[in-house]
Amino acid sequence: MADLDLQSDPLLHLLTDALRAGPGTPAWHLALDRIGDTPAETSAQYRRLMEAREALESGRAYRSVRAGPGFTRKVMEGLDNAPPVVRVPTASLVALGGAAVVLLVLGWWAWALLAQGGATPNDTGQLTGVYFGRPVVTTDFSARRLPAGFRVIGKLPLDFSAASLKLAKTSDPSPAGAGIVVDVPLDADSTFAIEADVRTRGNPDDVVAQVFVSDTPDFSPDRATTAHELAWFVQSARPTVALPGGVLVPANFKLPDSRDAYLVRFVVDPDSARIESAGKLVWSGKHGLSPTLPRYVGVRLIKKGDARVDSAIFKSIRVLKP
Amino acid sequence: MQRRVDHATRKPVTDAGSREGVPVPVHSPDMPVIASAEVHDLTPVVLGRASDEDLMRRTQQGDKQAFAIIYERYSASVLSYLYRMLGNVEDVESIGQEVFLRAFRFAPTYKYPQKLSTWLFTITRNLAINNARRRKRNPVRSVTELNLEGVDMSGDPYQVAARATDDVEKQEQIANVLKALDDLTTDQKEVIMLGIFQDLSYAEMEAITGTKAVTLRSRMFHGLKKLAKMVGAE
Repeated sequence: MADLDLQSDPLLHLLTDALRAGPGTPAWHLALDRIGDTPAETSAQYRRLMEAREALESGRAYRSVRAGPGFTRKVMEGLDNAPPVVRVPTASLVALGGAAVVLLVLGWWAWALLAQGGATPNDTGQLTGVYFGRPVVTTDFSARRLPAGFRVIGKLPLDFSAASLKLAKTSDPSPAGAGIVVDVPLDADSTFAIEADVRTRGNPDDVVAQVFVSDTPDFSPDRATTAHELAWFVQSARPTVALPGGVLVPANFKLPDSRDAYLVRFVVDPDSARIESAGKLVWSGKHGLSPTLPRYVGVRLIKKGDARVDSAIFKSIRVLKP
Repeated sequence: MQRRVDHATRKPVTDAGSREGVPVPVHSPDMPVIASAEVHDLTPVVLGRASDEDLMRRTQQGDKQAFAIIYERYSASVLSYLYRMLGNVEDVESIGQEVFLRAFRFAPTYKYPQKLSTWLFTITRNLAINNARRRKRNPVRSVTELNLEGVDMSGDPYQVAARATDDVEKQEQIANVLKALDDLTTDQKEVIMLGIFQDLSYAEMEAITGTKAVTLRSRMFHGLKKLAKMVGAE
């Protein structure tokens, strides 16, 4: 056990998984089976490790404590005297002083870029503090049909039968799309959030999932897109935002290769927007939508050629207001 | 996001009058259903079934009742983690209180979809580390009133082992492993406390400690190896 390759040795990976998960778990049984295939000396060492782990499992109660009434009373009294305000810890003040200098430099740099017409995110800090607790339209597709409050756009048939939104199988090999958009648009002066749970499998470029806000109801019949919209999608595993002027802004991170759904979140006010994927900021700034025209909010799936139709699906959609 | 989930079943909770999966139409002031789920309208029963994330959103609005439920859910985990890491009841009490007060004050810094347990254990760990630094500078502690339950029994490895099994030989092994925990390095001990006693995944531990998962796996491996060696199995 001198040279451990915990990064790529499958047995060690499995063993450390089992050691964490503990006796009785699938990883544990699998590790026990696999240990038997190793040389006798190594196998004996691994078994001792697992015995130590079993002893810990039996000793879970060790130093396990609960709050007594006196402790709880003190905490609750403390809450009564503590307003829920983010306060800057004293220890961070020195670091913040340094950060302020850096921010000044960055501010000057941003100003210089803006003066040259560069595309720099604008201040949308106020959007992060808004609580969106009032659903306007929300669905998790559990009704397995077109949810009320939405209408279909685009050419391809949609499938809601698996309590999700995906493209139905079709023999049409041409690139095309379809999606759903809210029946009644939101006012141009409203502030709202869109939250969509998206899942992509395999090559996410086969079927492109998009979340959008448009200021026009003129959706193209084949791809369900409009000429002036703010849209999010994934390109080469990288979340990307398409601005109404046609500019594409890729994020500086890639999405993890996972089969789990992740959240795409838009926060939109009359002139700014903030877009996040899987909890990370993709883009923020002036969205460039019309200040007077209503907002058409929706999601769509665009298939490229003869791709698998279920490689991107939406699990739920929520449009919320503060 | 206003999605409420049953904490036990992880299934969505719907309000009376709403139908699951049926959306609320846009601009319909006469619809009383989900739109009426304002922060303070819910009964305590429903609030108790709300997801961690939903409770935190309410806490971010200043809802102390919602935070009290978070406290109820996580106080034992946080205090046990502190006690195992620090082995000192007085510190556990003072830091434990500080953890929950900070979590409340700094609730606006919690961002969905981060798991609440990860966020809470990050605060706990940071305060525990700060405390360890302070103790190095000033080891004299004031004795406070003991306000925790189960301290006497849970701190004695032999009593814990005796409650776990009737097999005397096994009891000896369990007690020896528990005693040996304090002789591990802080890093090794921490990964065992978080991964084994708190059931956190390597990914969650990575988020809390800022240490790569592969390093955490190595610490787990070597920590347990050391325990096995200390109790005479190797």
